[in-house]
Amino acid sequence: MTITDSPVDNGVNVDALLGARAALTEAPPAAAFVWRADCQWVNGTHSRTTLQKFFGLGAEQSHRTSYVIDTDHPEIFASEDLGPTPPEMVLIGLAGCLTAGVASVAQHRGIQLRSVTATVEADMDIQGILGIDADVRNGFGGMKVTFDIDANATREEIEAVVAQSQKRSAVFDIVANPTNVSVEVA
Amino acid sequence: MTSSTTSVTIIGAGQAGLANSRCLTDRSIDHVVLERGEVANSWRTERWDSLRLLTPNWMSRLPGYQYQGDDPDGYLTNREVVDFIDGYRRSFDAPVQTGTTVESVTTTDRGFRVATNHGDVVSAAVVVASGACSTPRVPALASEVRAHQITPIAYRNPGRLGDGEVLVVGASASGLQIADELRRSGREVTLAVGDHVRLPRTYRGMDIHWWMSTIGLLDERYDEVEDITRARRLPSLQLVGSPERRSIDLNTMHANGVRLVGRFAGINGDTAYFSGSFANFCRSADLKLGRLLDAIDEFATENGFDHELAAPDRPAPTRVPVAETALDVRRFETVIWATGFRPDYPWLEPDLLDHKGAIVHDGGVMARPGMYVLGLPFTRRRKSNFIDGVGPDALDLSEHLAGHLAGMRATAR
Amino acid sequence: MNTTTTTPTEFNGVPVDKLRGTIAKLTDQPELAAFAFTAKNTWIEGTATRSTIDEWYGVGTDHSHPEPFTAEADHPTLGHGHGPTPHEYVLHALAACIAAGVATTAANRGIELTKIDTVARGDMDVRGILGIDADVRNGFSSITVDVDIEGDASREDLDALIAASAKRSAVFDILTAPTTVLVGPAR
Repeated sequence: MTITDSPVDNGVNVDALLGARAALTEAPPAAAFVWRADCQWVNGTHSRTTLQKFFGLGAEQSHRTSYVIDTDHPEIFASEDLGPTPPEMVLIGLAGCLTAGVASVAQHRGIQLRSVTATVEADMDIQGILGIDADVRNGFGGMKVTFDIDANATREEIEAVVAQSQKRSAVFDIVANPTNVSVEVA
Repeated sequence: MTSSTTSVTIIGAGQAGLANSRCLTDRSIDHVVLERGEVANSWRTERWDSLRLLTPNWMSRLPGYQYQGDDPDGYLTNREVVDFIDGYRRSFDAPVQTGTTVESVTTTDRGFRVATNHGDVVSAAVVVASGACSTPRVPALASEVRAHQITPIAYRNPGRLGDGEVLVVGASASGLQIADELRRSGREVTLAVGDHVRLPRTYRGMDIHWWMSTIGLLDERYDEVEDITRARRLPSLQLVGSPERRSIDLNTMHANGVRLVGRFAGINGDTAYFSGSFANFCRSADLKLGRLLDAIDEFATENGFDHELAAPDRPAPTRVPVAETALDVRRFETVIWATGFRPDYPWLEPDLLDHKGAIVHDGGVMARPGMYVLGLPFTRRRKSNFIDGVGPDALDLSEHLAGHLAGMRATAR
Repeated sequence: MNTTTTTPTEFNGVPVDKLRGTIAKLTDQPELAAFAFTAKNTWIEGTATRSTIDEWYGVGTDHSHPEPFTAEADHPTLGHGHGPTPHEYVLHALAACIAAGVATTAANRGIELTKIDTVARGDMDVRGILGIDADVRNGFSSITVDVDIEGDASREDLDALIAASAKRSAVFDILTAPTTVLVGPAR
């Protein structure tokens, strides 16, 4: 697929990936991760989340720095738009996950990426969340991701990379399939 | 209780067990074939009425025996498969013991003890040829479904089901064929689609199995593929054996009025959830099909017969309809789980199996010296679980087994 | 934080009257309820990407957030430390959605709150995404959200806000029920 002599490098640490696969095949309990988001309400519909700690490989782990994200709602929701809405955060999750997968799969298949952009769109009938119509779901009607990929590969090869990325994507699975969520008193 | 001794015990008298028996007979190695029912039992008792083989008749070939009829490009019915395998058994007077259920296989210091409902068989080697299609794999969420539920093993014909709507889960060969037949019977049918492999029945005038055989795909060895675990789990090919040589795929399902939804992903009370990943599975199947047809066209060109063939007639892309992700589960009178099979070997010692209960083997050679397995998907070759694939595997493994027996005799002196 | 009047119109920073006004308007004109959200994502390197949230559509017209919001995502070990993982954004989304719902529901019920701490945890067997075991799903096998609320109401009334919030939560619904996702190349 590559016509140059230089090895394909999309920046994905393939050695770490293969090492992780090998280690976790031997020791499945180490594969049990618990991810975590700590959210503090600020005011109105504005809250602030810290992402730092997670559990995996049998121990408590930490991102190299703590990430702080604000979310809010637009004024139409009688809010102050101090940050994107929570559903928009889901779009970020899907885009980031699929694109990371494109980079990994492309590297595995010897395809050098030059640029990748993705536009994620999701529609929502807000009669659901506003309690106006009980037959309307609260979440998205559907999601659409449009990729624009520049790489040294045929159209079919790129499409196959995109198809495979979905097959391995955590957020794609989270959104496309149901998950048990329990919301409790702390 | 009687106890008998022989060199090799073969478990299962289907095409795999009998092919192995023929190879051992040719080598004058004494053996017995244990069969819980009648010869070709699963073809007699676990197939639906209209089923035909997916492979054309010329591919019905076993060591020392092959299809001799006048329709080499046709597809055998169940009855004809039973007759074919029965005929094979008689052709070399295979030493089959019918009505014999294996209860356990235990390792002894000189070989194995196979305990059955008719006594024990003690042998130096054991060949597991009980097939890959004995125990259906039904998802855990089936326990939350109230409808009448069956698997393809129990399905016979539309007349035996109620007239209400049917949910067929799984877009495999069985799933599509059954959904198609039920739809033609006039019932409302919904088909839940996950991972699937799409193929046309013919391409450029030739049967797709002829192509896969000719380009060498079916002879691909287990140690030549990148991910053998994945290759052994590939869903069955979306094909049907019919005199008209018609193709079946999601487009033909849709055209016949079968309602298509995504993978059956969950139940919450009365709501059945179907995955939103449907389009991805369809696109993946189309891309995979495209790669196969590209490989076929390249082969024809490189081998100089491209000009003799009909023009490339690529199947149209899968039309992905807007699919519901939530349906009231109470609308389905019947649910058919065409969701494949799972390994089930309570009669084998646990250390022979992996954490999912599958037999651990290297190209059919099991972890315990003297034990072999045959007839599972991609045991040694991509065609290992097809009727014409079991022969080459049986030849290979019989050679290995003969070597094992010779080694045992040598150490016994 | 709030001015107490005889008919309070804002609780917990939520202008309740305004919210009720929106609901009334959309009940009359449901077509205005069709919203659409967009994120534009650019690959940086390896598993790192940057998303921009700016435009959205609703109430019959296009809008923009006051400022574009950018967020980077990456993966631990395999990546370069550019940001949290994409699925952590999803947990954040859930936590924030529940919290916003608690604040709004409380406001609707005339309850004044002083604290909403929400922790969302998602269990994930990473053998799924690593392709080690085809029977393991890629995403979270389950998610728990623990909500700690303090405010001027009984313990019972405060805790009741949680279930009410989940019932109306967009992200809770996105996670618990399937959503159709179509992924394709640019035309």
